[in-house]
Amino acid sequence: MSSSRSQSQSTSVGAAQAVATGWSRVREHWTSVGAAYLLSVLLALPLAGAMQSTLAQSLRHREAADNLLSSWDGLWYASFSAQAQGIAGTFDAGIVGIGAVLRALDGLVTGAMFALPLPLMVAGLCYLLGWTFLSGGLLARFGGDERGLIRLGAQHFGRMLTLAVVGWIAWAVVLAKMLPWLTAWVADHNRDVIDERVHAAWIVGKYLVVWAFMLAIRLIVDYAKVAAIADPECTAMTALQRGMSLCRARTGAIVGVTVRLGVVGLGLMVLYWVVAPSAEQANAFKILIAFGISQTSVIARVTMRAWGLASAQALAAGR
Amino acid sequence: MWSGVLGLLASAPVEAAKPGPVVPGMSDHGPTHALAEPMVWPDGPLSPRNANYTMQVRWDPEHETIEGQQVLRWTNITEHPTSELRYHLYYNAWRNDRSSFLRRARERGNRYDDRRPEDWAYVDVHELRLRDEGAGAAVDLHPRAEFISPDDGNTDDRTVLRVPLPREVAPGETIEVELRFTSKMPRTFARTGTRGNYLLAAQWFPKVGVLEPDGQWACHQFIQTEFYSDFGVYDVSITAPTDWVVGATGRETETTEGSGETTHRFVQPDVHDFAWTASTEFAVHERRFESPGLPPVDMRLLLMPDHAEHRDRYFDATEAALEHYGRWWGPYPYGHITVVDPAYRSGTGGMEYPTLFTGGTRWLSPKERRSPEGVTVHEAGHQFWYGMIANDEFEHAWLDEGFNTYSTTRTMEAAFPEHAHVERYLEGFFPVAFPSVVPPERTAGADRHVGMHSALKRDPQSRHSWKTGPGGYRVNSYDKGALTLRTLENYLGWPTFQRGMTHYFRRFAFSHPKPEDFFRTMDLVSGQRLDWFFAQVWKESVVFDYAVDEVRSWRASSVHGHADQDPEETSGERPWQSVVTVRRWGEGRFPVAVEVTFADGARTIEHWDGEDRWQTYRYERPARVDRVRVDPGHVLVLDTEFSNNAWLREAPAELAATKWSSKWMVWVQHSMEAFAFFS
Repeated sequence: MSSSRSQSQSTSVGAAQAVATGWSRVREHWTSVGAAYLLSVLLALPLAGAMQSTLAQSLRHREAADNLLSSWDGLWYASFSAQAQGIAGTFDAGIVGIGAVLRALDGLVTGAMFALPLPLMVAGLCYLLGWTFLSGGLLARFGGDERGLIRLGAQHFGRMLTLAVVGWIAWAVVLAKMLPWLTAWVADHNRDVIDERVHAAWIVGKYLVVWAFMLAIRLIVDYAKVAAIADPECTAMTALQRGMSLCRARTGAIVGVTVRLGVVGLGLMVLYWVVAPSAEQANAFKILIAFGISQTSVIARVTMRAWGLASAQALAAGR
Repeated sequence: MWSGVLGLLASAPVEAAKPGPVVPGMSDHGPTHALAEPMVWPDGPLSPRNANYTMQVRWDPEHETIEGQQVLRWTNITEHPTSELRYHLYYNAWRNDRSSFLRRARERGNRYDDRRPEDWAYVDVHELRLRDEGAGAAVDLHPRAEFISPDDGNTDDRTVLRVPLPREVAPGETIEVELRFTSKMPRTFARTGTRGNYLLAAQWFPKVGVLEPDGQWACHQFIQTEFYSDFGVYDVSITAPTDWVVGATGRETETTEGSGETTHRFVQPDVHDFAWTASTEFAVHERRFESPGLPPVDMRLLLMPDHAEHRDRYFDATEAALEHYGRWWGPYPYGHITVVDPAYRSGTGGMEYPTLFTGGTRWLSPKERRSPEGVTVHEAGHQFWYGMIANDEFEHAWLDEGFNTYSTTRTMEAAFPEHAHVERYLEGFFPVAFPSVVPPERTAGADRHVGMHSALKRDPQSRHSWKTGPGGYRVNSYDKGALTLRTLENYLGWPTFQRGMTHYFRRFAFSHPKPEDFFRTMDLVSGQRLDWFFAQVWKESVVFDYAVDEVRSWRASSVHGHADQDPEETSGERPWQSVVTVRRWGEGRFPVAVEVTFADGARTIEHWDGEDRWQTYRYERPARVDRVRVDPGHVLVLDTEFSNNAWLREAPAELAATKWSSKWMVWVQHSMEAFAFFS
């Protein structure tokens, strides 16, 4: 079942070539990637519907509706937020434009995302599991298996989930142990620092260290997944060993792939920052256009994730 | 004199405020000019100068202590003799966790268990003598001095020192008391202390209380409020290592270099406190404020290196305060002011002292955030409301904080109208501004209304500030005080209101006014009895909440039942019957306008005295009611719930909700992407 495309490549593939190959595979299987985006929409829509209903209830016959249509109404929001509970408590003006991206990234980097209300946590966990499921199918299709995405995902799900669980344990250690320890250490070290730039540099350094570990685990898990798909007979633990071996053997190329994709991702974020819709859509057509534009940022995130897997697979296959 | 004038005043009828009044001197962003004549402060003493201090102090950075000698020249300006003095020893509030300050803090959930031994503070008085010319040698007062706790009976509290005198001090008599003291600087408590090689020394020396006109000492324990003291001349020499830049209340009149140390002498008359700051990191910048009709002011900015980019923003904001407060209320009389950019995380930002204040900002601070502008205007503004109008902050904090918050908002609206929502990321270090989202101003639109409905009920404003319960101090002093003044301005109109404020300011500058002084001034200047208003906002703790309750419109139909009229006479286009009910949900009463707009564009204004719980208006018109607004001009900014003040038949609720939920959905999707990292 392993990929005929993988078998045909025997020479060592560089980072640039892996990224290029990965991109071509994403393009070839854009419908499969689209399935991941569809999952995002399907999970988010009911939540958005609940929020829409809550907001509409609060705005019925209210002048604030007019104001919110043209921009924002701080007085209404003060009243709304004082009574908001559950997911309604997460609504504020900070989700406008690039704010939606930055707040979510901030939640990921600092770990604040784990304090979201239950419905959002459930949606996030479903999406996480959805990606665990889809990643097997996507890698198999990127590898040349033409069977259906769902079927392939189901076939590999057991091992993908096992690898994800291993990752969860490792990430939990970093976030629950290492991050608090580093936070306390940095706070103590900066106790008498009175230059904010110095403290900011320490904070950035703290997260760089933490996220170096987080990313390293991410890469090991990713390459273990690639190994698992390449050899359907191997166990998850064997795949994990192979993934780690690959990461050790081709550290430079793997970092090269990661950096290249990181630069592309950062570029896309900056581009989105420029075009991200503000708060000033006053009619249905403009609201629809704004929604469409903002969805490109989600599509970009989904595509980048798939591109990362495809590039990893290209690199592993051509070692 | 006041009662005589008041006796002439007729009880003014209460009229509903008109929506959208055209007020002279108002622009979109607030008052553009003052309606009172510019004033010039008289030459000579501006204040009674009855508490005068001469001090020589040395700062020891290694031990974080201040060794000092003090001579207090104090005059009894009351009509009652006194046989004792009372001193504030503020730093003893952080001597240990048995003090009333820290007990109160603990009761409210603030713990200080993580403090290191060197973080605590104290002020010890070693020697205390009365220079008594009649007795020859100085009289030692130290043995009879005792700590007292007049407010809560906590015998562990050492923030008030009672000093019995060997004889009575007669009205008009002056005595001199010399003392030697050591103040151990805390790691910042209550916005005074040290951090790294930076310090802000505030409330750092033994300071005499205020003997009130009734002969009783106003010298409260330091529990939760700010301060109160008499005016005088301060002559303070501070010795510090030469590489420490020093700034202080007053002008630096003399600098003496020693071996590795420099002595800075600061002199300032007509102030009621003395604070100073020092750091090895300060860069000194200077600019002169000049504006026609106002006295020039030399501004000295002590700026931390990480805020070098904010230099002009500090100066611009200080000038805005000097300009607007100077024109609206009265000119700044001191000729110089020191602006301190406090060290990062020092916890000393946003504090006011005579001729010196601390601002505060972040390394990265978008213009839209208006920081340092907001805090700079506010603290510079305290030179007026606190510095010159020196009310008792232990008892009536709203007289300075509320007045100053109101004035700050007005100044910000006039000088720095551009602002927007700012989000901060990565533990708050990196800000991003969202220009399309504009939060309301502090009192104009009351962006602090979250929780105000219950907050306003915490305590009546008349309750002494040091007695207020949990959460009551802040809301009463700042928010409610400012909203009260803004409501009053809207009700009286800017010209009358400004005349009243100016009159109050000029009449009570360099003294200790009480709330009643302000109430009487506004009565006098407005020509109205405003008791009905002040009783509600000051004596009671009512909330105001007016709302549109129900609106119904229907076509008049032909009569059902036994018609008294020929149906043919009522044929043709039938008019719309409409009924509008407005309600008073809160206990507070205030006259409000009710604006009713019909589908054909016709508009009618009702004037409701706001007394009853509800009022119904009935209309028979060619068109149905489309929009109803209670208090459309937002006169009553004390209204705790603005969003129920208007009713729209065709409010685009669904579309607006769809718009914002679609934006929220994008955030949800990106948050889910964050979860997917762990797949």
